[in-house]
Amino acid sequence: MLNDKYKVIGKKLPRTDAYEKVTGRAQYAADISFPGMCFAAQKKITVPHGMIKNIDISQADKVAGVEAIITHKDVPGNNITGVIKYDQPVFSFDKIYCPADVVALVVGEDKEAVRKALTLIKIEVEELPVLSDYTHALDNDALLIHPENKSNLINHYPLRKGNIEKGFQESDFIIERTYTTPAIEHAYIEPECITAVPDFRKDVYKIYGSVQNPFTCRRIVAQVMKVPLANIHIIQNELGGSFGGKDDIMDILAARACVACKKIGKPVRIQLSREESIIESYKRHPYSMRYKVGISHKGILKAMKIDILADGGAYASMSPFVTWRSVVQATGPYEVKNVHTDVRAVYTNNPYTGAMRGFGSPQIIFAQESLMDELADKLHMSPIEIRRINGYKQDSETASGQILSNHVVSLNQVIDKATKESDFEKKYETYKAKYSVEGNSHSVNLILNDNQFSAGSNIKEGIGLACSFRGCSLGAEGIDATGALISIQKDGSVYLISGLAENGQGLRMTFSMVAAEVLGISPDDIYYLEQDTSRVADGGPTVASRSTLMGGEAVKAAADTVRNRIEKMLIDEWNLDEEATFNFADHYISHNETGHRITFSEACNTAYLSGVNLNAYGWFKAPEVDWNEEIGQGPAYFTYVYGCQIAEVEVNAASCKIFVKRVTAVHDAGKIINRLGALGQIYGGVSMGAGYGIMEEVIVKNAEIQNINFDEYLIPTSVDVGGIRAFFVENPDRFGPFGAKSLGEPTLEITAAAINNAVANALSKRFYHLPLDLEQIKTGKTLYQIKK
Amino acid sequence: MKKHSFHKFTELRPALEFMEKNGAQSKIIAGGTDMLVDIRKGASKLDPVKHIVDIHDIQELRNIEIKGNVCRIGACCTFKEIGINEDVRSYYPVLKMAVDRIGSPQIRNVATIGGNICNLAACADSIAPLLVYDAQVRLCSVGDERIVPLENILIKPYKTDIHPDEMLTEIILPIPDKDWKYCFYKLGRRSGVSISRLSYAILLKTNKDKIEDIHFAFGALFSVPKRLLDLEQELRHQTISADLWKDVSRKVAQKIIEETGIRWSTPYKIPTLQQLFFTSLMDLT
Repeated sequence: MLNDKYKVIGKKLPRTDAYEKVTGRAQYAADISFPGMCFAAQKKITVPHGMIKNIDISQADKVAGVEAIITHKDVPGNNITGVIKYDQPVFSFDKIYCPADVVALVVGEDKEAVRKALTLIKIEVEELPVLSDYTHALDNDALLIHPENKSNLINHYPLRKGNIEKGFQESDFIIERTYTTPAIEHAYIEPECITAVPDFRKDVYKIYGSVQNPFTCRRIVAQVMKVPLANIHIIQNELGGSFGGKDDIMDILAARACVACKKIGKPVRIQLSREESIIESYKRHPYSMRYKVGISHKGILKAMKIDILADGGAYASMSPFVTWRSVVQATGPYEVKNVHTDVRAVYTNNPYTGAMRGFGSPQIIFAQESLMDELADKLHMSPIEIRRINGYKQDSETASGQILSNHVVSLNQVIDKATKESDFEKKYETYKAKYSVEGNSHSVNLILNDNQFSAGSNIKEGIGLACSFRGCSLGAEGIDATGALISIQKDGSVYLISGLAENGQGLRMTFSMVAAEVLGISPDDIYYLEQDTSRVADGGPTVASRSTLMGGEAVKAAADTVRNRIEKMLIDEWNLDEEATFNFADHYISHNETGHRITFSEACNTAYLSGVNLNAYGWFKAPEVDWNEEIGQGPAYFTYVYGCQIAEVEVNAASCKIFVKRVTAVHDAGKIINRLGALGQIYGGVSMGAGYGIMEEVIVKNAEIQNINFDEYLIPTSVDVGGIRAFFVENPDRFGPFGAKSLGEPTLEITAAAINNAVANALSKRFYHLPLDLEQIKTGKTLYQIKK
Repeated sequence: MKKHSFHKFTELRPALEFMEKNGAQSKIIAGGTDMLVDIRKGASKLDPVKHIVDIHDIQELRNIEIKGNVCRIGACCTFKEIGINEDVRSYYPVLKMAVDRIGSPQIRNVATIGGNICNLAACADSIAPLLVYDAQVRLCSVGDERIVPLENILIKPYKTDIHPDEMLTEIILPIPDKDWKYCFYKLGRRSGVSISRLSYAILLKTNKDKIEDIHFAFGALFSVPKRLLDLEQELRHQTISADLWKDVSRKVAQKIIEETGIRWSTPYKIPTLQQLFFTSLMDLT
């Protein structure tokens, strides 16, 4: 490390918020309390689809201790809301679209009274037929969820490149496969909690809670309350996990709490139980993906026809953006001359689906990476060879016609590193030879005959590879800019805040490290301010693995501005040349040529006394991107990251239980800023991806979720995933701070696909549906226990 | 949430007196890892229950001791206490293997063996090992007690033959000789904090190539954990072979289907059990 030009960047430093979190001092949304605070319970109906005929609150209203019953009639502004499309009622009044819908709030200080009143609200509903199978949502005779749209289609993205027919004609092999993936739950450890607090100023509200995107939340609350944006202050508490899951749900809960707060003039809290959280929050989109792929004898991909359907559930939510990422990345990191892709999201009565870490990529990667291995097998090639032939190289052209020239295209680098570190090729061939002869005869009879028993160990080993490319930040989804505010005190201590929010991912530490590097101080000298929409400008949502790249660059710009002012002051002070360069390190500012040297805090004090402005706003606007909606062509994202993961599994051929023994994860996320945080992202992402691969599934029957707590919705524990070995390939990016790019989502999106390929290697049998649970592998089918 | 009166006892006698008066309207809580979940869910089986009787801290029920040719395990011993006990480790390794894998460390710190029996979930992991060791249970009431084989009180899921005024106070295990080979297998959907999809315990004593004696019991396969005594009897003195073990595995499977019928999980569980059970028997011999 002696030659490392950085003092802070890339180091393994403990998070500045670690102490409070591990000692239990950190304050989460449910830890805070306000005088006179009331609790609000939400009235739901266990009918997935129906017309509301009457809402009778007369009995409930009489319960002693109840302050108010809130319905749609109390909403001052828009009762219909949404993050992209306006289609979700804050309070249902004419129709129930899905079991997550809320008709009324009961508000009071006494929780028992509130609970009692909740049972006394009488709602008459005329039940409607239910549309739960999304693969039939676009049938001609399909039931319409939002009839005013004349169709259940939420959005459709076509992508057309080359000549698909010609491509198939040039192919020697054509295979067609259908892959499906389930809805899954974010499973953040902290269920949703929000408190709306009235202010002495008229129509001003302060809202405290576990909010992922304070500015989105502010917009929605302001629309519902019919007040200016500036009147709504969203103050973010410590977040107990989000993974993309505390966006819309928190916005609508905040709006409901605020409506109640206005009515009774007291603080109102909504805090969900785990069951309510799972029933009401949005999920990852289930996808059904049909891939038809043509390839030459030599293994050159000639044509890809892709047809994807996504279950959006009852509301559009983030479906238009989630599925847009899918259309951009659906071919995987492979050059294909002829591509014909259609991605559609549809309405059903199911739980609505929205943003979740990965955001439309884990599904398509599962399909395309499974497919690449199957093609390699058909052509008697290794999984590496087929990826070498077709994988993106410097200046490759993507399916949308973008030339990858402004960053290092490192797909081969990450594959090389991962295969070398895991001894992939040798293991792959060994397992393949060992198990292929046995085949895998699944008995259809319940009682085994003599030759269906197998002697020896039931354990079979397998290794599988998957890789991906991923566009960084929002891309052509929309405006992509963010800011940061730095304020240095006269003793050299620093306030820092950005327009992006800490969601537990470690943004505060990463941003503090960026500022500390620029100013030659320690991250411990930086006090990262509480997130409050009134403190800093709207910097867009904290999504799309954009924080380090976008927010980090804004922080760097802010710190650079102040540093330049200090330098200018010192040039005058020390009578130096206008072009003089300084060294900011270890709390000193020095000018090497003259030997001048001053502590950072002294310099700040001098600056303060001389009236130098030690406060600055940094702003970073992403480079231009573009998308042609008609044909799906254009430079979708301004830079990309590459990753490769290799999973090693042990499959018990008798019980079909998979143990993920080891995952080797190699990611090029550009320059690593916060090395401990980056490792944490990989460990967490891989574990989450393994859960998606082998056990997680929100089971929905007739639009109703069957597994509503963690006894039945299983996520991996610490003993379910073996060793995770993380490696970084650090090709600096030209845009991000110190060359940093994105990491959070890439770590999760590849794992399930790698596991699927490893299981195929172990069992000589391929699977097309996630999760790879016991029954799926044993019987080739999904078996469910249906709750009565 | 329904309200219950809560009665905590630290001595057995007053607890039994309370049960004599109020047993029919009371529910005993020993560790609470099942009961508290039921209370939170508002389970209908708690509808007739007025009183919650907490016996967790009755020290008389927390001992594990060897006296004469039996080992007595107090009903309120936690799985943690049983798992670390030296006598259990040396005489009842199958029991140790089972209790060490129940739930999570937090669950094992409070959940009790008596609670596992009295709650009687089909997947109760400690019962199959107790059955293969010929466990008996002591049921006490004021001025009376009876000692019966464990299997006699296992009626159906969540239903035991323990009278309202009775309390399960201890499990009595004969000391086995050291000639038993043993196996415990638990299959869960995941490796930690998992509920058994199936489990079984096997004890096997061989004499050259013949079976001298064999005990096996199953969890999460029949309606309650169960030993198959007839089949065990049939196997004594038979010559060990792969074909015999295949046959045994099939017979177990058939008995399960006979009792439970074809359920949603049958196409998975039945073939899986046969191969796993066969592999375990092969590994023992």
